Amino acid sequence: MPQQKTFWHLLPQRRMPTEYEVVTSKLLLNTREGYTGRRFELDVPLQPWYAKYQQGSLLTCSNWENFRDPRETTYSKYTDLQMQKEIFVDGILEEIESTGYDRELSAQWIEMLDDLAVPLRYPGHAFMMIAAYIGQIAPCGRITVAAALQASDEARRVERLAYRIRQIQLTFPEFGLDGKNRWELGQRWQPLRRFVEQLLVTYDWGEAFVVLNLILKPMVDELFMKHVGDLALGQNDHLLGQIFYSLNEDCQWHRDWSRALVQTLTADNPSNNKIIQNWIKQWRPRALEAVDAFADLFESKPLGQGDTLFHNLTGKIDDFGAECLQNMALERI
Amino acid sequence: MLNREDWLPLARKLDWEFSYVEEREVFPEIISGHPWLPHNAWKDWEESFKTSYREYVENQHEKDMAVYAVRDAVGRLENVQRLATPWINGLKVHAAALALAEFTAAIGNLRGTRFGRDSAWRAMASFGALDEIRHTQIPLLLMHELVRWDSQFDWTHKFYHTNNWLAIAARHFFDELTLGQNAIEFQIATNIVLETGFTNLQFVGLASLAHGAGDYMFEKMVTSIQTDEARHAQIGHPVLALVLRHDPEYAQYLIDKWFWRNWHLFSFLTGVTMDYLAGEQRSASFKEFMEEWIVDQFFRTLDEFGLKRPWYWDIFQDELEIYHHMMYASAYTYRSTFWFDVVVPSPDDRRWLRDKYPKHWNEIDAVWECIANHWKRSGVGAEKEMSVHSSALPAFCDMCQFPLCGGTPRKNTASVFELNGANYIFCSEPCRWIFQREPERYAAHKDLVKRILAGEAPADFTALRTEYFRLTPDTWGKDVYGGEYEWLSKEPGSS
Repeated sequence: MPQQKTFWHLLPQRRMPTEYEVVTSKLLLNTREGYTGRRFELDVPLQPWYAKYQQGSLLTCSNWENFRDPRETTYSKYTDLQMQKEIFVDGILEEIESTGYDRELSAQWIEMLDDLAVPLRYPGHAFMMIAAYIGQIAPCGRITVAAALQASDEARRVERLAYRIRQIQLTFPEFGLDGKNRWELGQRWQPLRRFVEQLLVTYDWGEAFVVLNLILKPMVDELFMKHVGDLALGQNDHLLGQIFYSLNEDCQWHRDWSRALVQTLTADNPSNNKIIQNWIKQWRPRALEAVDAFADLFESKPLGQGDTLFHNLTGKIDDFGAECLQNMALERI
Repeated sequence: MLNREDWLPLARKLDWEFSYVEEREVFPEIISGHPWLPHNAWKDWEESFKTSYREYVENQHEKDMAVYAVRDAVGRLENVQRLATPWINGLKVHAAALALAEFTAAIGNLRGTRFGRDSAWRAMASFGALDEIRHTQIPLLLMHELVRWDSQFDWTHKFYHTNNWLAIAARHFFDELTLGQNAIEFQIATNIVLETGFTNLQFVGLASLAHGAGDYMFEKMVTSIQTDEARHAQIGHPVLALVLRHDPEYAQYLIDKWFWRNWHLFSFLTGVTMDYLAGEQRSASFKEFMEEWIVDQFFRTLDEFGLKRPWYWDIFQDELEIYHHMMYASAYTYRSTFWFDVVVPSPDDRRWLRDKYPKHWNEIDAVWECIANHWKRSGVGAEKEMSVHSSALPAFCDMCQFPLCGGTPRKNTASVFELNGANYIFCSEPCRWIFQREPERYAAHKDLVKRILAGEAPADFTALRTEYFRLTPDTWGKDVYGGEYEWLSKEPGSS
């Protein structure tokens, strides 16, 4: 018998596996992927939880291992990539500190950032929590890896926001002091907070994945990471957009791997498409409502200064979200 | 740039009052853990060593680069081939036990990232999850290269996906420790007992043995992993402190239970490697490593929290003298049920072991005398393997899933307990005590013998090995030397 050249589970590929395949394939023990025919060995108290929310999810796939993160992100690749991005952001933050940049910002813009950027840490943290949930309950180790890295990306965003808030406070000591209050009570944030809280208790893994990564995040990420950055350009704050650009690269990857997963799912079983579509129907109007609550800030004078760029913000974000869905052969409904 | 302490507080504390759902729905007790307390009780949760994402990715990138630099310099196939054969077999044990178990810990940490009761805990756990993905991927990558040389390294990935009896025991352990555990029990059991305690056996003890064996790749890998563990293991301390304040009896129970469960797993995993497969460069015995690195550390932890020594401490100290020796002797006689090869301890080894374990060595020594005599009688060589091998299956403990190796060859400590008309057998009092405390977790589990009796596993030994354990003549365990020991041929009475 010739000597085997790769791990047992990669032999059927009949080629040498990539590094990504070696380190991300069949990593879960409780999905009956191996020879055991078992899920949990023990009657752990969480077994019914998994039965209901993982195995019981409406999303099905005959072989979850067909999913591949298009970036083929291994741990090693991730830390390398993210370190480069963080060095880039450090450069921007250093520039802000060394040039007295914040002294040139207007009080009016600072007030706007107080409302737009400061409370964003709270939903950002919730996005980390939900991604971590998707990772732990996912039926496949490759999804777990992607979702765990996504959760850390969200922690990155929260930390960079925190850093920037502290920086601004050195010039504007009153800045950013009531972020929690605005998140809990501010009218503008309530539709998003309601959505996030309801999503936190949505435990079906497929639904949690679809609602976070296909519905909510594309629109909320676009609103804050792109449009707030664009808005900042007209306010003498061109560097905020650059920071958000870097953070938005993470969001772009979240959309990329999610698209690859949806493609795997619909190729395997076309009825998955209908199930996802149904969740879109249930949740998307509320996501749009959450986005729409911010529209007046963008359109209000004199900040908008009649700039057509921010006219019909909700419509633009609706279109962006729809385009993301179209890339997966899904509709906005 | 600003100092971390100037801005990190703005990222660490991000809990809020829910308005649209109930806190108990966001953190159900079944998955967030016991005792259930409102967030107000957790709001002062604080990790002792803080880190930022920015620092994390840079430090971790550098650590990975260092590991792969060592791999490129001294971790290639030709380097491994130069190591002593028993050590390479120890490597196979650890490679198999490590990689996918670490992934269950990634799941546990993701549970902490979602269901940890304070935002700072959750953020720390997200780094923990990444760390555990690292600890999954490094050994998979390093050992993959060795598969084309020796198929037993295939078990680096395959082990947990089989019904090998040791894999059943390991899954029984990790299902409860990490994969299917709630956030509170996970952090206490994993951080406090496993990572602050037992993994020191691997990361300090085995690392030094690896150095002595010339296996610099293994040494680098485990010491690099240890630096991650030291960081994320601190999550458990403030969790335990709060549980202790609200339910001290439960906190004590978790510590007692998990110390015992870890003890049995590591007796096999590390005890066997240290005392039998590490070769002559060993400086201290497994028992000495346990006393220096685990027991002392464990006592410090108990003192720090005002916890008591587990009620079974005398039993533990008895087992420290002999349990892993019983396991290894049993393992040798069932070696073809494993994916690694084993050795008979030489007369020099046996003298060393007698010196290190004076209390019971005589009884164990008689077992090895008997095995050596079997080899003498049967003659040596690969074709004689099964002449010096058991074929009747041992009985397994209904708690730890290891063969009933408690006590000594003369006085086994197994005991039976009846529950709802069914008999359960345990290797030791602590194993029985753990079972009795939460039988709903354990009672339905079938050990290997029960599976055979239920027709789920083949009764025929050969079929069991190949069809159920997924071993092949290439991969099943053998005597490293096929019984051909120089000292054996010199002994009186050899043919």
